[in-house]
Amino acid sequence: MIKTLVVVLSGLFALTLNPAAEASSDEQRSTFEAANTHYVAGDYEMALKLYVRLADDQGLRNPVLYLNLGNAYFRTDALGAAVHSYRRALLLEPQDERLRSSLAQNLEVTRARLSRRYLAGSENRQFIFEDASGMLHTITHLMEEGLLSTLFLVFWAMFCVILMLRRLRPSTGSLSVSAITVGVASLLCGLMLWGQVVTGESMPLGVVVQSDVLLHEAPHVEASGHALPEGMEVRVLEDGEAWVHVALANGREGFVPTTTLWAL
Amino acid sequence: MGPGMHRSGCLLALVLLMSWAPPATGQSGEALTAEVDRQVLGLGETLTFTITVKNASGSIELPALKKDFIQISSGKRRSNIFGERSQTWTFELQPRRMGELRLGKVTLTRRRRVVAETAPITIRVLGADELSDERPTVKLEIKRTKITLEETLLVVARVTKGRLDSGAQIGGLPPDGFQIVSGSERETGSLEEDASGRTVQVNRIALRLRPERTGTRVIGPLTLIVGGRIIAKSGTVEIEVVPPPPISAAQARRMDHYDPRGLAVRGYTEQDSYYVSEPFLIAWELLEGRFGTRGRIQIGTEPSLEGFSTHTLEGPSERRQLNLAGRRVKARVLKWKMARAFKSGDQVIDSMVLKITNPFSGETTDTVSSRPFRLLIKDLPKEGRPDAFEVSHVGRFRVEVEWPLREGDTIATQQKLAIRVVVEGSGNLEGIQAPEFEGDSDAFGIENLSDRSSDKIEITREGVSGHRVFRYRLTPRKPGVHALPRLRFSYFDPVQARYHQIDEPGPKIKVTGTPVLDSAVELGYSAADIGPILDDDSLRDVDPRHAAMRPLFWIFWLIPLGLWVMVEGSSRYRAFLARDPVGRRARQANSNARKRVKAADLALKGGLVKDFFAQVSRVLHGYLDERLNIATAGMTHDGLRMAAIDRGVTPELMEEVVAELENCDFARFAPSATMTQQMGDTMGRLKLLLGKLERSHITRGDA
Repeated sequence: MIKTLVVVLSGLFALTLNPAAEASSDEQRSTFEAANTHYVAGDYEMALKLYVRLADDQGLRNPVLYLNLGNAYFRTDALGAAVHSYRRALLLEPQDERLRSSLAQNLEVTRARLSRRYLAGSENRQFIFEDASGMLHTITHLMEEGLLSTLFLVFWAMFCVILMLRRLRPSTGSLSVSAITVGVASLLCGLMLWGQVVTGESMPLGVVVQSDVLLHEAPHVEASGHALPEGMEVRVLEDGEAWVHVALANGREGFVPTTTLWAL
Repeated sequence: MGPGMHRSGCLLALVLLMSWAPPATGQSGEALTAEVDRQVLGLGETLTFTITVKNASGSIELPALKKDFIQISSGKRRSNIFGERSQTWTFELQPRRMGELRLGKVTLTRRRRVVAETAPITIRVLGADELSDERPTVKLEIKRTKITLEETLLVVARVTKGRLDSGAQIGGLPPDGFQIVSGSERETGSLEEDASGRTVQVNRIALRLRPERTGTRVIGPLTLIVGGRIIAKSGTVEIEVVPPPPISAAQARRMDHYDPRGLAVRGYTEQDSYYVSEPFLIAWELLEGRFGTRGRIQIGTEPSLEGFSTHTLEGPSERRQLNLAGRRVKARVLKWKMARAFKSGDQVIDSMVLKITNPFSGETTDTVSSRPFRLLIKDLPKEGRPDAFEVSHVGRFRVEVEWPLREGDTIATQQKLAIRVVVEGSGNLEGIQAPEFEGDSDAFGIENLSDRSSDKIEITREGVSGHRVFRYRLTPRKPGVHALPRLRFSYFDPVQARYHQIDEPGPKIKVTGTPVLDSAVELGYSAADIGPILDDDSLRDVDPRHAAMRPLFWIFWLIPLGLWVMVEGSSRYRAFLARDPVGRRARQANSNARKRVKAADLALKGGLVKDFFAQVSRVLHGYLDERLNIATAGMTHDGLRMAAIDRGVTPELMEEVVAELENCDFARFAPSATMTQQMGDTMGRLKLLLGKLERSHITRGDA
């Protein structure tokens, strides 16, 4: 009885941390394979078209798909869009270590290429790949979502067990100290989780996907502005129809056309 | 100065007081005029008698008017515009009789001395039988059909009428596209005879018009309107308004045609000719005449400047003194434009038209325009022109190349190099194209990454100067010793009128590593390339929600919490029971009774009569013992009844309990094999009794 309960709970726990909502259809699967075939054959344009069909048109959210999509963008020299795809994949927190390292490496290579391009273009330009989402976002995202959720639930369970033991076996020593320690750890993890949820919803990010984008001081094409490098991450403050109000990592705010920014 | 009064037999004498202080005697501009709008009119018609005094003080003495005229109305108007003071009296008069009537002289007296007077005016009044009964006519008389924008056009409206009553008005003036030159309206009257020998009145209204813009304009038809009804209409005349013929750039600069008394606009350039793409300044200045602007100046029409690229500059607002054709003139900058021509040949700089408006009424009172002038734009000479020369490279420039490596340095293939080229100087910096590098394309790949972020271009009256920065990325492709591509840049110096070519050879460097194919360079394969694509058999759609926003997360959060709440509650409940043993026994009475009922039930099922009734008796005694806190052991039924009633059990219910206990005692000690039915009934009654006892309001005894 207890063994069955433990097995069921463990399964549910794993499902909580690594959910796979729906399996893809056969059609999606065949499209993905066709895109991979085109990519390997060097037909990056066609591969990109098929990846985009899956990711954007059909809304399939899969880190491997995003990785391949990013690679196709990279090969077609759309480096900002490649950064966007790699970041989207990483936001899904894939568990596969090979996939994670591949995404991290590709992102680094793409950013390095963009950096070289802009550094070569102008020494005065600052090319910032800092986290644009602010201090709260940075602090709350020190740990990945899955690990943090696991820690929180474990600490929480331990805290409750210690409280139960303290009630059932009052004679056991140092339970109060343990309860406080584990309770504080649980509270910290809970606050970080809350921060992740809040900042994820209230501080959406976006990636500049075009070159020669200006950060306008007002939502008008004739307003003066500063150049934004392609691939730069910005924080979206307000999303309008034609213009997006954004903030950079250094606090500068401005407006960019909606077509030049893709939300993460 | 006291008011003057003339009483020498005049029916109408007016004393008109000048309200301003007496000016100095002999002040320039002092004038007294008296005039009528018509000197021949029919009986019953009206004329307007106008007296105007300008820049003078004193008393006005009028002639006798009432003898020969009926005064219909009168009015007075003062004005003081730009220092010119005037006072005007108007009288609308209707003659009382036919024949020749005389309006006497008007005198201006100061300190009882006549300082000015006007001549008498004779008015001829015709009777109705003397006037023609032909229809009135209106006719346009214009001598010229083509004028320039700078000229004025004399338009005469000739109105003939016989017995027409007064009050006729001319409609259709000023025509569209023209404005009446201030003070140009003039009316004259005369008499003619018609075919029947009767008199026809002919009035000529002469207007001087100034065209506002070029093109074909139509003047007319003019209409004669009486009482809101058109009684005569003139024909139309087409006038072609053309720009004034352009003068040379030198004439425009010198302003040979300028009359220093009036306003003028001077549009000019410093030179008579420029090269294609060479920046130069076109200036327009307002030359203020002797009397100043006398109104608000607005730019009406700007020159189109087709064939030029222009940049407007801020000019100084203060006036400056110029020496034009030996005369000193005040000038004010209207506009500066830095221009460069796209094509060669004689180019005409159009007129700039200024509007002078009355600052009070906002009406345009006059226009003044600059003369268009010809400017020679020279083509760049073909002689000595370098190959691949850019036509826009006109000016005086210096080029500085910042090579990333020095002679003999070593670098690996695929390692990117940044080259910075600065073009500095004066001239057509905007038109500078990125300088080109020439070299072995197999050895180096070169990309132009220039933008305008570091450029600095300053446009002033003196010209265009500053620098442009061009950046390149160089990628070594082939190992070996190679010279970096050389930079070539050529430009045309308009001052020296010759071409210059700058040639900057690159240093020789050593390239190590493996050769790189073109395709690899294009695709970006290098040591820092992206990884391969991956495959995913399942290709599952991942829920993008945060883990903490999923229901299972909260289930796992609630499970430990629920367990802890249960343990805590249970523990607290046990502690609570421990603190009240009587109450605890009472609260457990029901559950204990149920356990005993179960035992009785087992005995019932086993057919154990004695045991069954003993168990039923134990159930009731135990319940009363625990619930009512009565020590039932050794107590008689009566004692039990009394004690239970003391605790709040109703006597009727207690009677039933005691009856059941007696029934059990009887059955225990006289068991029968046919007692099965009775046992079942007893079990039923027992459960009913327990229910009733549970619902009774009972007070517990002391522990």
